[in-house]
Amino acid sequence: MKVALPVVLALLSAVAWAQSGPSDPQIAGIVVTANQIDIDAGKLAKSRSKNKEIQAFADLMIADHTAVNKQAVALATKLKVKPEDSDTSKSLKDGAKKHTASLQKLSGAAFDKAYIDHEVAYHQAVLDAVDKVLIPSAQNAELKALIVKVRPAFVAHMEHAKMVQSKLGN
Amino acid sequence: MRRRRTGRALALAALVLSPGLFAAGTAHRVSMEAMKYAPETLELAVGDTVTWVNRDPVPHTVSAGKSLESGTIEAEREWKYVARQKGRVDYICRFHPGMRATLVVK
Repeated sequence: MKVALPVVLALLSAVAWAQSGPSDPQIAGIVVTANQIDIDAGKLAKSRSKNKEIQAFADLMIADHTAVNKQAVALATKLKVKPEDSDTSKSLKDGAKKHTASLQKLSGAAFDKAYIDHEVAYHQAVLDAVDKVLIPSAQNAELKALIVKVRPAFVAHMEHAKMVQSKLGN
Repeated sequence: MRRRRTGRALALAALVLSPGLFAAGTAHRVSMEAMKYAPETLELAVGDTVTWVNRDPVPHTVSAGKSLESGTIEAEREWKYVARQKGRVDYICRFHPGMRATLVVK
């Protein structure tokens, strides 16, 4: 589970940030970054894993998070909100770099286990950030509505990742 | 008299040219929202039409093998199906294994 920590810690820092709260452009930046990180992790899993369950899950992560990002960018464009970097989005990117570097050292069953363990922890951390920071802090009603609309998909992803995890015998 | 005949002819032409207006069967809608089909069980008759509407931000499918396969339904898109046979059809989303529902064609 060590490989999951950097990205998860970045999201927990977002939760700790809840008191002051990010601005709408920063929220848009966090949403786009969090989705892109999971798209990239999915692409890495597609290229390195030979496990069918992992391949199917990675395909789903690429498709769903790409669809969500397309809508987030379309909404940001419509609202004239330019996604901004923040300490959280920067920490997310740094954490993802470290996680990717750890994954790239692994192969076979060890890779599959590290990837899916991280997906479970990552989606839980994203949900915590969604519930405790992003939804309460969003000022624009349409931005808030999009995050609320996306939440059930993240829950489904976490449940799906847990199912794959149990099939791998974790 | 000529005017009445013309009127009848126009009415007949409208019937022939607009079969969709007089198609048998009821139209039903199933929403795909919050990663669920609603309603989860739909009872309908042979000849009825079901339209699935994807209100989620991610793609879904309506899949039960060869008898019922929508292919990918993108966000905010719809897919229509006309029930041709009686029976119970349990279907899923091929992408999201937690999404399950049933058609009961009577």
